Amino acid sequence: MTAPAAPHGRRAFLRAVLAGTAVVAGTALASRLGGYDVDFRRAAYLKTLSPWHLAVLDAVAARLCLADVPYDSIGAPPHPSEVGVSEFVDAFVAAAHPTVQRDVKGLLALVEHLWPLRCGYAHRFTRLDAAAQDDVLAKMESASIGLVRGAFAGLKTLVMMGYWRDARTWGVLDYDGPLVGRPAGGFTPLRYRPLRGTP
Amino acid sequence: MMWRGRDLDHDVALDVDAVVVGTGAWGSIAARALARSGARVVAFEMGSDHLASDMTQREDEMLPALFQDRAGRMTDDLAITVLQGRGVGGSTIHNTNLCKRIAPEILELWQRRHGVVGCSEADLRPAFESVERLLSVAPIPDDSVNANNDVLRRGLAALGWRGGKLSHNRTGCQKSGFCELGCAYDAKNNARKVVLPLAIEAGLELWADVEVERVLHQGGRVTGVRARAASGRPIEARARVVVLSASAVGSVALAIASEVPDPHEQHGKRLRIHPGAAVAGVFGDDGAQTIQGWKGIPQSWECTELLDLREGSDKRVWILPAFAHPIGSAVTIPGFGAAHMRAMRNFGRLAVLSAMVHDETMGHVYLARDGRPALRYPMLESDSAQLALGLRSAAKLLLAAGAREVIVPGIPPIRATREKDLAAVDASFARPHGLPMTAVHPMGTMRMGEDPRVSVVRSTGEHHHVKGLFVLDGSLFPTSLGGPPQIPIYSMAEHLSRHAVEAARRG
Repeated sequence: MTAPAAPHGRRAFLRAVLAGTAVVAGTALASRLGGYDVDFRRAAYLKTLSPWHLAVLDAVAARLCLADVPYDSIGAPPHPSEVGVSEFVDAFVAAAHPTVQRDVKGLLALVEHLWPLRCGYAHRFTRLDAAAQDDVLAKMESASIGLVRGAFAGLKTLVMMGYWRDARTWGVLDYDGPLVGRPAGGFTPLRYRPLRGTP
Repeated sequence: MMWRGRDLDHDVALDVDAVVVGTGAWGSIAARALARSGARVVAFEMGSDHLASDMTQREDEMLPALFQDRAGRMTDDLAITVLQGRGVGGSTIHNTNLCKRIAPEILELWQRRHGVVGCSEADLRPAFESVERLLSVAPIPDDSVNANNDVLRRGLAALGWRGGKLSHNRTGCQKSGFCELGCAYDAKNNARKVVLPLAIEAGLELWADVEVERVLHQGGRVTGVRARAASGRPIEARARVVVLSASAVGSVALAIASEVPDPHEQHGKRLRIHPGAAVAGVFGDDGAQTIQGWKGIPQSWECTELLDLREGSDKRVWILPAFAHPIGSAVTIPGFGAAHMRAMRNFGRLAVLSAMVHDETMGHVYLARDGRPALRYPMLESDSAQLALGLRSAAKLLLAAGAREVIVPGIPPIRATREKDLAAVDASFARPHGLPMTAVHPMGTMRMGEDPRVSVVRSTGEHHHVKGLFVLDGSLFPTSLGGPPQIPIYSMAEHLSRHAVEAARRG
């Protein structure tokens, strides 16, 4: 009397396999997407990005704006976290068109998940060591796919804007920054017509 | 009078003779001409009005404020950054005040090849002269040439190449070097300072922070525009004449969105942008600050050795200095990390030249799925070869001027101390995605001509298929200019606006 039980056994087996696969996939997904060390005080001020985006940006900025001398040495530039690169990018993107916001979030997902896989790393970007992160970014910068190169350039632009906007970084350049607010020698007010008004 | 759309708290319906869309070089001149003729004219500007006191000289604040898409506009393959102004005064607010007339070769080509009539050098001379007077165009004084420009001057002298000093439209310049971020001293004789006040005096009503969403037309005749203020309130303006002066990207995007008749599918075609890229030269020994190129007037010299604007020429490159502030430089300097930081430490010792191509590539502007304008620019191999020629030549000029090393910021970058090390800078190197490219002069998406099968507007600027609709901006240039478009645009506006005036009069 074993024959009638066979279909039930197959179904049970298939259910068990599916359930097992779902658990494994769920665990892998949770492991891949979760486990970010979120600073809730920072995350509370985010305008458009998610806490995990912040983690990716922190990691990317740390590699892109790496100092050429130890950070605690004399004349060292500030660390990107000191000047709030990620928070700047969040605010900058939040003011952009919704399509741009979507694209930037997609770009951060690419850096965090897809591109490391493409480069042969099993872990997401934020879990890689510094050398592997540099490798991922370098391969993005020189990718054979034009759009990926362009995406890297976009990411670099946002991060560099967030970093070099801060006056604390200008000492590295001997850049003296804006002149407004300082006495402008020889400045003569020009004819000027205020055009503002209210309807 | 001027209104701000962000303050508007009620719906508005206007009945006027003419509407001008955009308030840059062309829009301001057209608005002035219409207002002076006695027409009731309103101009809409999608950007804000920025006063000199708003100019903070900070890249992170001014780039998003003064440029379209917060300075993030790119070609759709993300290969070329396209910088276009936004705000009252348009691109004249952030430009570097270069003043050159349209070359006679270009005007001759437009007549001979593209069927443009009434725009010969002789036809345009009065407009050139009038605009140059209006904007107080004058050569840059010798003592205003900064160290970065002096490098180009020295390089030209050493090589015996053709070039010279440029003329600008600025009065009371403080030589702060922040021109591309807007002038905090109101020294630029731009549309905002010089032309729009005259137009307002003559009766123009100017609305800032108002985006025109649709050109209204019926039965082959324009009837007005529908717009939306930044506050969200709708504005509808009925008018017999509508002038599109919203740039070669904005005007055609609006025409496409408005379903303006285009039986020969010409809208958006033949986009030219003058694609360009930069080369840096490292000067001085470690510790010596010999250039500080961010100080002083950014562009006062040019190299025209490789610029022959005759048809079929194999010299189509214009070289001029192009220094950026820290963010612009950090973005352009190749690589990242510690090596990038080391390169940034040379900031004060860098001289930078850019090569800009008088392009033959014909890109196009279309509407993306989200309704925003998108630019496709499949750069021709011949233009890449010209850009490579320009980059090699710029590097040669830097070396001739005494640079100890030149850096061509490709991926990977090419570093050279001798001319023969530059052979790798070829067409395959100087291609989109091969190096950071920027374009600041989009033009030609609704070109002028008498044949409606291959042009969008007549030589008067009036649309072939919609009476009363004028396109008066860089859109109507049939080819690339090979030079700065400021004076060409102001002058063509001065020359052609009379047709819009006549149309407004006749109704």
